[in-house]
Amino acid sequence: MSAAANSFDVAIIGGGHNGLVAAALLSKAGRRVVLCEALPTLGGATGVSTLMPGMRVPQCAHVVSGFSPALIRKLNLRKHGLNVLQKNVARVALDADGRHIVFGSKAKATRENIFNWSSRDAESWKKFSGELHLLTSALVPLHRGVAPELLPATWQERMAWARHYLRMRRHGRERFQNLLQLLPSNVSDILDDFFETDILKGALALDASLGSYHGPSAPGSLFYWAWQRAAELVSSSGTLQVEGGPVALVQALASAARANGADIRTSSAVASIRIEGEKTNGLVLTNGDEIDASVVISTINPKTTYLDLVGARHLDAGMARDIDAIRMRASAAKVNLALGQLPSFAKSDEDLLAGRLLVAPGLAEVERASNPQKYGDMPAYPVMEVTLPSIADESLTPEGRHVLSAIVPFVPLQVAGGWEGQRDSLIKRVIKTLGEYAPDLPDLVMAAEVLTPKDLETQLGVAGGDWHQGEVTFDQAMMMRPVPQLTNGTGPVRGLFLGGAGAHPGGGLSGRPAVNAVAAATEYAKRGRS
Amino acid sequence: MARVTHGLIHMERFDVIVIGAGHNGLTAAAYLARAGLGVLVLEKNEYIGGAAVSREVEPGFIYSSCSYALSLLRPEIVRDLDLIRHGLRVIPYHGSLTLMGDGQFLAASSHADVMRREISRFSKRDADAYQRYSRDMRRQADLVAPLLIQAPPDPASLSPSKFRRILSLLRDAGAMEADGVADAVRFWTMSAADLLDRYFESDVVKAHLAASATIGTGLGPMSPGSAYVMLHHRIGGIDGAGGAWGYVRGGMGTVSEALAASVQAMGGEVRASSAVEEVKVSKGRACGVVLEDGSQIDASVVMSGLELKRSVLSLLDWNSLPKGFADRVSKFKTRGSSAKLNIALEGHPQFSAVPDDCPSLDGDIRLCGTIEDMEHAYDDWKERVMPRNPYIEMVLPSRLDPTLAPPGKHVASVFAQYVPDTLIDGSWTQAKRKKLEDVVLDKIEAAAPGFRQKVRHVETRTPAELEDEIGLTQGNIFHGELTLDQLLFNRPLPELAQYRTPVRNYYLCGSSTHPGGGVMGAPGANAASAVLSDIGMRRRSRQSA
Amino acid sequence: MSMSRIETQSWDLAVQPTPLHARTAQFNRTNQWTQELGWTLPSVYEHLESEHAALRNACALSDLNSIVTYQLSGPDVQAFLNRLAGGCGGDVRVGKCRRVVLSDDKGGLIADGFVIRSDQSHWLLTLPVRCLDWLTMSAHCFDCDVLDVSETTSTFALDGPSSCAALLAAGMGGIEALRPGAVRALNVGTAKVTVARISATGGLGYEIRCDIDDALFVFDRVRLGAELFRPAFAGQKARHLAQLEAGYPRANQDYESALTASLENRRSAFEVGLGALLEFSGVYFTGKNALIQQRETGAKRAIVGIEVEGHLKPDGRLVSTSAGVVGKVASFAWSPSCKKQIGLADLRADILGSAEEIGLLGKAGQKIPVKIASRPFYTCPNARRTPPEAQ
Repeated sequence: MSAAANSFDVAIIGGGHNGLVAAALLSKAGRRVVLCEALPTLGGATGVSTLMPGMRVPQCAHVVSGFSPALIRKLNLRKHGLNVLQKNVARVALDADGRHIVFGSKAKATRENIFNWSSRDAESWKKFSGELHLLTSALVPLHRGVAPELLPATWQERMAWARHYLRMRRHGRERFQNLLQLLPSNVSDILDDFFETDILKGALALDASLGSYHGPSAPGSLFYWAWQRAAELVSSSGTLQVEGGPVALVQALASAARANGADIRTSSAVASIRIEGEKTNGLVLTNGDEIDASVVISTINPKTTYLDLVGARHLDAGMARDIDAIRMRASAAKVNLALGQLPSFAKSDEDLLAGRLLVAPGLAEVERASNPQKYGDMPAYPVMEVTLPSIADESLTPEGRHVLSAIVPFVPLQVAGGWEGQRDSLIKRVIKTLGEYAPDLPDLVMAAEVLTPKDLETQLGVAGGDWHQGEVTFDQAMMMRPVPQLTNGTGPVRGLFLGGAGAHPGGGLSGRPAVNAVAAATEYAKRGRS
Repeated sequence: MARVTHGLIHMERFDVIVIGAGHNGLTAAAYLARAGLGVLVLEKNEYIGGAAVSREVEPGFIYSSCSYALSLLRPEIVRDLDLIRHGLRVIPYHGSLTLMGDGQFLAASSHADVMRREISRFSKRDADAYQRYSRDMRRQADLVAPLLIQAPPDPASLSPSKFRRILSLLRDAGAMEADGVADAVRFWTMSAADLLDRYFESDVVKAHLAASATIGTGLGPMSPGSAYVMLHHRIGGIDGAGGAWGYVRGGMGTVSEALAASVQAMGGEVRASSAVEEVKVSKGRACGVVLEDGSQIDASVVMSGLELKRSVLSLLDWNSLPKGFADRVSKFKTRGSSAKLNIALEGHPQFSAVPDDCPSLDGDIRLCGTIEDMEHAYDDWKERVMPRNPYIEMVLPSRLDPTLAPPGKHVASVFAQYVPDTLIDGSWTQAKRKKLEDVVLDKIEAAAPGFRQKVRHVETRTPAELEDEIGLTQGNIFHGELTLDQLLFNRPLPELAQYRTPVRNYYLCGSSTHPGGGVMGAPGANAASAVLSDIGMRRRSRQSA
Repeated sequence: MSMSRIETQSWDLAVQPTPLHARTAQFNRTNQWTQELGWTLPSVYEHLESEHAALRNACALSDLNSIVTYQLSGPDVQAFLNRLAGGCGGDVRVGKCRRVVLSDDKGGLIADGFVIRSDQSHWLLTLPVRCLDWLTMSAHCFDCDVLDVSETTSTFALDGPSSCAALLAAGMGGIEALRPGAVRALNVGTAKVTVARISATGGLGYEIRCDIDDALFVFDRVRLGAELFRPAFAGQKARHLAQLEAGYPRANQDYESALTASLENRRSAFEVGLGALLEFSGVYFTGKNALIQQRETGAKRAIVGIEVEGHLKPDGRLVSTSAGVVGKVASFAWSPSCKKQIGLADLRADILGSAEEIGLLGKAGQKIPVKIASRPFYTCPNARRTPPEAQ
């Protein structure tokens, strides 16, 4: 290739949704953009796998949560093939005997479902939702835009804090106090305070723990839950299911970026980020190609970005240590099943089964499931979130057939004795558990696959198997994400920006880290010109 | 002191009544007596001291029945209340010993060089990392220490003075620079295991340090928030030596006796065997107490050193409380997680792993195993089962204090961690208590063969006993768990964090309030300040210069 | 003694002897000892003045085992050292030593020390503080092994104008060619020894390193072989005095290492006066950004030399102006070489430029005027010169 062909304004590392959002936005703004993805396909965790001929299933992520509708409009993604099948996918607490609880958009229906179990809980539901909403909506402004500085130095930075304070304080003294109390609390205590119904508590605790390393009794788990919900609240459309699975979103983004002239290259692994005088000036690929670009946006995890691609020799030793200490622990495995027909869950219809089915009999069971991973073990009785994507999306399977996709939290990256030989046992445990809800399900399984956290790491490049690229805990969130020295587009290497889930505001399919990185990079380029 | 005749019956009247003669109640009483108020302290047991008590259950042997070592007692209180003159003597100990159970041990020492060499037996790198850890820990402790002896900051308040205090606190935190602020977030929210991973590589060193993260808390060393408990144990000190721990000569009861002597020297009165039945409230104000024997004592101010739920739910008439308040109080978390064994020994135990001349035997001896072992014990606790392999911390105070046992004999205070307050199959019974005793003694026996033969008398106190005797609700030694949602301005509840309650003239001064548990005295002192400021006086502090 | 191994526990080693303890104890007539980094070293052997005079006018042996020695190996040593120590710590040719400073992320000075490269692959880093944790952390992502060899090497020094001749007399031929900051490996009997021409006294002097098993042998060889030159023994007090005269600040005395210092006690290389050891034009090193920023905005504190005329002894260490306290004195002593009282003071940097009179408080409450002096206080005539024996 000629030298000019490898000269760009912006180089983006990683072809996941965040990388593609950055590519689409920057190319739309008229920049010359190149995007390098190491794998032969785009999409990272949003791929589709074929269980058997004609039966496809979202390999990893199974719904699109929190993707900004503004982005869909701005990038004109519908024109590029994005077809939203259902908005606000409801969560359902699945019960073996059919007394399901649907947490949908209709609060009244939910209360009626809960009333089937306990009148007291039905009464508490409103107050509980109120408290959770109080916390969630308090976090929304932090989710939007950049995080305030850990140590505000200028008046502007102090004013940012003051604004956040006033926003939380404006509802009065009592609610503010309540908020400060809720923020560091844990999910189990709150659920125990409000409810007595096991299945209700179990489903909510499971929902709260998805993607987290810690169980519901860990302090800070309520923050994690509220943070994830805030991501959905920000985008106003909640959880989406799109035709073809989350991969369709990725394809639409890629098509939008390409339409604006972005150069999107797959199978192009980056070997290093070029640095001259504490400033980046491009990339070196593993195939030896060099790319010139004065701005680099990395959407892969911060640890790999800084320790492998930049290299510790360009960093302060203490900072390198802090980056190395970013915790990325596996949080979940994925089990996909191909089914001969729709399994017969008690008292269910297609509407119900199109939701996100929370399979957890009680709070204690969720907590118990979270224990073994600390010692490198799998849960004996897994809890899981299940979807049947083929109900809403007929393109996935032949008529009558279905695919089931289960996210099983609390599965460690490495199990004692290695994964070989234990994958099947995880599948068996999942099928057995589901068999208690739909007795015919074990016999309907035509094919099954499991994606362990280790597979996520090796096959999809999800380091540590953590889809958040760094646990979302207080010491790794907001102004501490991913490490305090690298927040808000700052860092020792000028021109390098983090735009992946490892940066504020974090994981999920929101695309917001990329939006922030694009803003910071644009600002940087502007300053460089003037 | 002040007796007023009401018509025909003699009705006693005091300026202040303090319920509960624990160390916090006594501290509050002593400060108020010093300010010239007429103070009466009422205690339900026939002995005073609450959890800071020395008891001679077996003749010749003096047990520190509950708390057993001192570090957190604020030096300001010792000075202000003249406790040294009233008999308080602290014998510092200079080390602690961690036994891993597999023959490995770590003999920690406050002598920096000895400590470094000891750690370098496991990892040379960790030996130097310990410097960094101590530095960071000290920075955080220095930030927290001034917060202890005053009411917690109130971020919700819009009053200019309170707001200025918050700002000055933020300035202090800001002076630590970004690293220090980030470390503050880490120390307050991370798990002990994760935090220690940032510093150390050796399992033994990590286990040694993580052990203090579990004490008295319903958190495992891998639970977020447990790092704060390590910090909580390091913010004290003896004679200006930060983080140092010591024994009290004559047992922990000496602390209470010195405090009581201080109260009496200032003209206050301490009355044992006087259980309070109810706090009298009229027109939304506390005006006295009713004792269990039916007699009544009037007072302008009533303070409770009891745990929050007892102070509010048992002592007050629920009708006098605002709507929903009782409900919120009942949600205060007080899960107990520890048991205490007091043992009279015929001789000094001999640990098979450790030479007898190890000076660290003077301090706390921790039978802990790795962090994973402790976490397993925590998992058991969550399931409310009888502990199978509890974490044990044992001290032999009679090594340094000969007044506690006859010559050649010893007393051992044994603290067992992750003992549920009620078991999955029901509450504690005689048989279950015996079972627990065996589990603990067997574990010590394994580390120190021949231990059981030397045992002359054992007193086992499960969370149930701790609750019944000295009112530690659910056996929680800190009067409420030390998690961030129950610390600082959240302790015990946001609306109670300034020591005042919805019932006027009724104050809280126990460990349920900021800054929390441990024989610290700060809650009592701070509550006394709140009372004095409400009646227009100031807590007098002795000037040090 | 029986051959059975006596197990030593760490608590027995609160007072740990150095490998040369047999000799230092034999000659320490005053029995005055001091502890440095856990090692027990003689404070004064006989008389401070005579020991100092030997360092300045003849030659004196001293036990240097409190120096922490790290051995570095691996292909990335050079890059590692450059990143670790001021951007230039690895630019050391074979047979050379280099004075280096280590800074932390915020530019705080961890310590100053030496990189010694006696042959192609043999790198030593000697420091006055223990920091294996910091070195290992810094070596992350570098192909470089860091090994603490302090417990297996023994170091002593022979300093003074006649030290070269004395070493030659002791059979260490070849060292006469060593220029300041040069190092050479040689054999003494069967012992492998490295001799580096480094001296903290500011004059001619050599650091001699060998394996711990050869410690007494080599020491005696020098002591007895050089008998003609009557090598004295210099205790730590005399060494520190000579070091003060030479104007070298001591870690954890004149400045506190950033590894342990609280924020207000943290000093940068600029503030300590070692800014010349930083190389900003080259590769990135730890603390570079922070130090560049400090260079632009100016340092807040400065560690400077001070002189006090006359014999009035100050009481206490606080330095004040008419406006109040502006700093404190760390090392302070009567210098026999300069014939006045000298010291190193940690002052507010803005005081230096101003015309403010600064002073210390005397015993009787009077103010003793203090003059800021340039370092070194005392320049050895033979410091940079190649000894005459070589010619």
